[in-house]
Amino acid sequence: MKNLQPPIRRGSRLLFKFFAIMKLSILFLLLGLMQAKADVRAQGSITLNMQQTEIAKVLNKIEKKGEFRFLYNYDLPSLKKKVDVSFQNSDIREALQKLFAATDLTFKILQNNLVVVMSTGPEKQDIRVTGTVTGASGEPLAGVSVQVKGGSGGTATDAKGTYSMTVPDNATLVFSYIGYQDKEVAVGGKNVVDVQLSASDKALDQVVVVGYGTQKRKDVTGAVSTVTAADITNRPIVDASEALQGKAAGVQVTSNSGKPGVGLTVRIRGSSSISAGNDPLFIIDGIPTTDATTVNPNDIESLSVLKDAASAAIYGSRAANGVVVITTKKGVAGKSKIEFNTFYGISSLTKKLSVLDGKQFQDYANELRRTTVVTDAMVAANNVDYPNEVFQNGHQESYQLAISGGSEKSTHYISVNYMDQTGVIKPAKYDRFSARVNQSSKINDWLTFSSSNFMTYSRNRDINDNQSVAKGGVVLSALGTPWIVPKYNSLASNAVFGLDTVGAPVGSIGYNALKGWDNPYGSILGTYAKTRNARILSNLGVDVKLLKGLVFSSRFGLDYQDNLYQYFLDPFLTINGRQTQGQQHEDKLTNLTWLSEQTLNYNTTVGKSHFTALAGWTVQNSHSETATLAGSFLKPEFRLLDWDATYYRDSVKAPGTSTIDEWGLVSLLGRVTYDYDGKYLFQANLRSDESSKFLPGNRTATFPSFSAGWRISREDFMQHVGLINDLKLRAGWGQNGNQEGIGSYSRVPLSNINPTDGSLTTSTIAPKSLTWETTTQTDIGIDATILDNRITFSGDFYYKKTKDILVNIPLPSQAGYATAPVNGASMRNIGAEFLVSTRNIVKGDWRWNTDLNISFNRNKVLDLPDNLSYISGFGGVYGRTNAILLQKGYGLGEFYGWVAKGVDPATGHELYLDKDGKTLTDNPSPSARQFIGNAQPKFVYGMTNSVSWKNFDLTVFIQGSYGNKIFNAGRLELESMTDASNQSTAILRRWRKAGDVTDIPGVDTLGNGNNSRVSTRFLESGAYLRFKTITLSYKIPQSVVSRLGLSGVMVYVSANNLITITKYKGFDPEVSSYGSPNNNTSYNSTTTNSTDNRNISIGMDSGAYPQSKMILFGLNVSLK
Amino acid sequence: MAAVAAAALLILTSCSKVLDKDPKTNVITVTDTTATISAATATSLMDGVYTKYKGYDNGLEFNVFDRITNGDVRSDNCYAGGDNPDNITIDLFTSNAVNGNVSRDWADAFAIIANANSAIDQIGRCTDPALSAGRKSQMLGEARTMRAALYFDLVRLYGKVPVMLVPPDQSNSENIIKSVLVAQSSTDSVYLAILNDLWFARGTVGNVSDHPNDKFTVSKGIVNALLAKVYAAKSPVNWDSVAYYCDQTIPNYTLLTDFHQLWDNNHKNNSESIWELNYAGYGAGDQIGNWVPSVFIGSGYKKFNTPTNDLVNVYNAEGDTIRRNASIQFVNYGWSGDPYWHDVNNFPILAKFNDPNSGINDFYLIRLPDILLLRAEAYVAKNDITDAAALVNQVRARVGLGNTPATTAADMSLAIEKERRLELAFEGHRWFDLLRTGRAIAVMNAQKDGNGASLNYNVQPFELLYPIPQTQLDLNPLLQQNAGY
Repeated sequence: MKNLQPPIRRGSRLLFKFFAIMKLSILFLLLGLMQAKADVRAQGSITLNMQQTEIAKVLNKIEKKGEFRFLYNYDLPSLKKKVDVSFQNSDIREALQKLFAATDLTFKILQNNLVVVMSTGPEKQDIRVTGTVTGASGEPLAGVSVQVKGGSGGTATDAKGTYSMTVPDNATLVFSYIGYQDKEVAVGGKNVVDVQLSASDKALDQVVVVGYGTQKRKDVTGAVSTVTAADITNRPIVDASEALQGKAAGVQVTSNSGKPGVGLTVRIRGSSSISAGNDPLFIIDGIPTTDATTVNPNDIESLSVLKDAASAAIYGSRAANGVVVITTKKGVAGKSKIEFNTFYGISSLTKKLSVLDGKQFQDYANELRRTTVVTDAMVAANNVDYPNEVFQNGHQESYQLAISGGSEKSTHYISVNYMDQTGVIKPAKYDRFSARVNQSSKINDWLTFSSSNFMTYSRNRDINDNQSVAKGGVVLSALGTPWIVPKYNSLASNAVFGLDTVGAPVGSIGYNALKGWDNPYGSILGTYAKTRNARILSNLGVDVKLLKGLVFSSRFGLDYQDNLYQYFLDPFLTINGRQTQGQQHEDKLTNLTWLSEQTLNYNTTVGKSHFTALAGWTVQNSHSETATLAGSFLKPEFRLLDWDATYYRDSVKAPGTSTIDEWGLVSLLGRVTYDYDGKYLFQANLRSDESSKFLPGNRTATFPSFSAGWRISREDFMQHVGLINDLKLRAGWGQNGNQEGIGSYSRVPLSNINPTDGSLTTSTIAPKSLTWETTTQTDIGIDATILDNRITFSGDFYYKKTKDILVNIPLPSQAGYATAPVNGASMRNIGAEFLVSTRNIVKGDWRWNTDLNISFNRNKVLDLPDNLSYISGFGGVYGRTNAILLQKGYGLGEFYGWVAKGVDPATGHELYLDKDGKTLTDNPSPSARQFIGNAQPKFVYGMTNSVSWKNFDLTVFIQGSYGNKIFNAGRLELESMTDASNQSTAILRRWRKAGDVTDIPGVDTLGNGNNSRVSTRFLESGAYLRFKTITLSYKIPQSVVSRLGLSGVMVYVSANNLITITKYKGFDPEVSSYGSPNNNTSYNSTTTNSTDNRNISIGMDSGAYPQSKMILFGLNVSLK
Repeated sequence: MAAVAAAALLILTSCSKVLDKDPKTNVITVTDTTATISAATATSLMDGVYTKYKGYDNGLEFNVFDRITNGDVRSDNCYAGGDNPDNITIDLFTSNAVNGNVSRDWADAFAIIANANSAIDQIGRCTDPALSAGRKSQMLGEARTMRAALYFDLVRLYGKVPVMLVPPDQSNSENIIKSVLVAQSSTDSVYLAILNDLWFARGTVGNVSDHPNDKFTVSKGIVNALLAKVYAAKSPVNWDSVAYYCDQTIPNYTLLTDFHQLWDNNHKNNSESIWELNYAGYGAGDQIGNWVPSVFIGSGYKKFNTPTNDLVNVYNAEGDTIRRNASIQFVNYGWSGDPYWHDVNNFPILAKFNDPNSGINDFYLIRLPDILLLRAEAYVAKNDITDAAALVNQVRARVGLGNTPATTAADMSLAIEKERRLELAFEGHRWFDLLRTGRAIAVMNAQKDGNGASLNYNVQPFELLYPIPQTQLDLNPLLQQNAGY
């Protein structure tokens, strides 16, 4: 009798089962025999020499010699153990003892030299197990993978969430499902194993979306932060970027202001450019764009932030600022689901700033003018509390209906959403309707069609903020308008506008006669700026499985935007309006970007080696057209008609213009990854781009990257370290490029064509050498999961250096061009970021999780072009010097001004330190200015604590920034005492007579601004800690919900920005007056923020629309 | 599959379309020295120089608004008014190198110059036969005249300035920088560049009679008048040349009989206008409206450039009601615009500008009385008091004033100075007259407010020039700050 190992082939399950049953029967028979009969003495000896051979093979070899025959269950795992054997005429008993020394094997020698080999471990028995897998709220989960731990084979749950499989009775089942934590359950002989999975956030098996594909978290070798739907849910997020704030290590997100629809500044690992873009590239379902503002956050499944060069390099020339890959929700095969989510919230000012009332203003104004310009009668006539009038409650509401589902063959996700937001200063508002259809159809085994379609229609009413009162900023106007100014004029006067008009018509906006400025209603009612945007973003794709492991994918994407901006200045209500008899302006922008991508994906496994390769070719083309209309001189009787109707009636119309802007990008990309046994991981990327933005010769650039990972925890020597569940070291190096923010035609000198007469004037200068910026980044990271998966830690250190940075270097005026775009600066960012997630309590009905992340970044300009040591002209303050200087050796946002040293008790003048650092003077020279602080934080952080008990869940999310300075230009205006605008109540303690010791100087009767220069007096700490959201939710019990025919109902109450701990004296420390591309609604304003200003002039507060706090109530319902 | 492959192929073939994108709504400036332009482009470039000289980008700000600030606010004609510390510190002689006006004037003037340089460079290389040699040199003369006028303004404001007469070298970024880092030239060299341009232009531009109703296009009258003014300002003064160029100018023009007609917008390009920036208003012609008057007059914003007590007193003392009323109007704003005038019912504003709304006020850069009175100065320099008096009296007679009582050279000089002040108030001349005659410090330091108290301007000699803007010093290490700043 030969051994019982049957000659079966893998995969032949029936045969396998047959033999298994047969083999077991024989074994039992033999065991019975063994007990019946005592051990017999074996005959013969063994001579054998083998190295690193499986025990089974050794036994086979001995058997071949003919003396002994073995009987054993070939499934015994120990038989696979490799051993070295060296027998010299050994006794069989001795030899086998040696052979089985370090195993659980034992043996009995029967008669006829028949040896039975068996395990001392318990014997297994296969049983049939069935069960249902449900999610956190008891809903069945379809498509959950069920596998035997350490075994092969497995199954998946069906649409009802049930599964059934035959497994050894002592097996452990592993349930895994995307977005949920893996769960291991020991069968323990039971026939029914029902499992409830909880949503995963940090599981190693979490699938991470990376460029052109996905990876499991454990296999990732780059630095990738992810934010999932769970982080966004139940929060009043309008702009997808906001989801990253405080949630993704290495990402700094700043709201530029609290104005609805105003946008945010996102910086990934600091800033790497000066005059080109610093904003990350967004990939929305495969389509690269720099504008993700209109994406409905409720549809987002995950945001992956590709932070280091290695992970972002696949996006090559546009990846230097990091890449945010936004993946939207897909349907899941299984039962259809209908979800309805809504919330309604009331917002209000986080803080009030107090200003002078009428009486206090009278005192100040008369002192300023050294005569009575404000009489008691004027004070008595009006006392309008303008801040109180202007700052009101805002609100936000959102309604989302999503239907998803599908079958094995096709899945769908369809959603519609409407959100509406009004700000704390009317009429600023933003509303948006959006809809999405994501669909995927598997035609057959080798062909899959999919598409992701998104349409949005949004409307925005803007209001002019971030401006001094002189320029019509509503915030400073609310604070700066004296309370003696009437809301509306009641003075009957000459209706002819012009020289003889000394008053203003009845019913028009009241104005500060001492300054000639309208009260804040001038901004609110006297003008409007409306934007409406329609966007369709659609990506169609086909995946063709060519061979095993080889897939060809073709994608065609379209991003179409139609944007209409209309501005109107009423010809009657305001002074400015009456002077020009109304002004209006319209910009119609259409942008069509298409993207074609062809990729080949290959993956294969050879033994323990896994290999993947990606090759692709993409083309992106963009065409924008902006058509402009402008008119003025409208008869007041027509002023209430809508924009188009008034435009036709304007007696003066500027020539219409239409400008075209086009660019194109053609790229080749490739990636290979290799891992051995999930232990040693390697990845290399290469992308080569050609851009239309550069002259031939400078057009092509190639960006490589490499990264590697070592999962130490998979090493044998780590197996006994029970404390550590997973430990991985990562390292990566790579280069990325940047061309965003570089104009489509910056490569050539341009002359403008005057639309009126065709005359030409030169407008730009261009060096032929204009080219890409290149960022080289090295990243070292560590990922660890310890203490029974209770603590997950991730840390990264990076060194990032950017060269050939584009700088619009200001030229001396005789050049005739304000600036020339020159590649020539270099800058570095060094930083570290840490993420810790802990499951503090997992006991009974209690769960307490904490996520903490903190990011440090140090930014420094290493070199400026042409040996310049500094470039000035940033951080402009009305009527003062610039507050920010770009200097070699310093970071972006470096404040530059005088050092204030308090008020001279003798004169009431603000004293400053002169250049020598000692001399005090009230009129220091410009050269006495110095660096006084930086706008960049030393670190930013976020922490989320989530506590749940039964159906209750409390989430507290705090977020903040430390070490950054803000220049409070708003306060400068409110404390400068140079003119007859209203002032802060701080000036009540102003210097009045010789000997007064105070921190507020005397009234600046000359109006020369010497007391209120750009100085340390107005530079404040911008550090803050904010309770961004506190949400308490309650899941209505399943029993109640089911009776209603629903599958889940959740109600919640949430407080946003409830508490902000800060020393900042302005409205809010989260502010960036120069942060948005556009901050001004008046069309002839010159203050549209240049990219340079957005990058460099950070930390300026020129009266930004304040942030608000909001209390909201929400309801989520899901239907079977 | 085949369809996908075909689509891919189609896109592949259009790669060059994706990558070759030329600007469509702008024109690429010709910078290659071997390239040439068409006659039509040359004409468009010439039009562009004119537009820039008077238009929105820099022209109105520099040639109108700031000209009045520099010529009148800085002098004893106007207080700064308004609310802008930049203007206020200029008025008070406490401005420094970071003053916004000081910075922008430099920038504006050079921006217009550089546009002219580019046009001159490109037009000069035009070989299109459609452009006759005569017309070509005429265009070059016109552009060079405007360039000269700007350098003339610069040298009087800042003293030594860099002289750049060609466009920057755009071959690469290094050359751009190198070619624009120009050191200051001595004032003599600046004047030489100005004279070179004007001498060239004198031979090529059209006669006054060629376009009698267009006083904006550069004519020989403008060039001659400019030459007279340049010679009068350049130290030491060459009075023979001043006299010569005045005499070349004067016969082409005659005074209007009614002074008020100069400002009524119905007598544009009139017989006494030599060089005039034409503004058809926001809705007409070239669509450029003169916004500057809205800063001086009309309802609303606190008005800039308030006439001084001193000027009002001088008009009154002279009994010069016609010119006073045409220049200054007292209005009841119900409030006071600045600390120097407290009677809110009687607040003075600039009346030479009367259109704050539609932008149709022209601006005279040079008009005949300027040249007549300059000629009178030249007579005084030659001790010819009689001929000087005749010219002064011609100007006075038009506004109903009797003959000047001055009989000595010294008195006549002061009489001419006063006549210029009353005649040309708020046209941007006064400060430059005081500068040229060396009387600025004495006059300014004697200034008193409405109550007779000294205004304590305490003007120092170095303050006769503006500082070189700090931004320019920062950008161009070859520049040197003017002494004293």
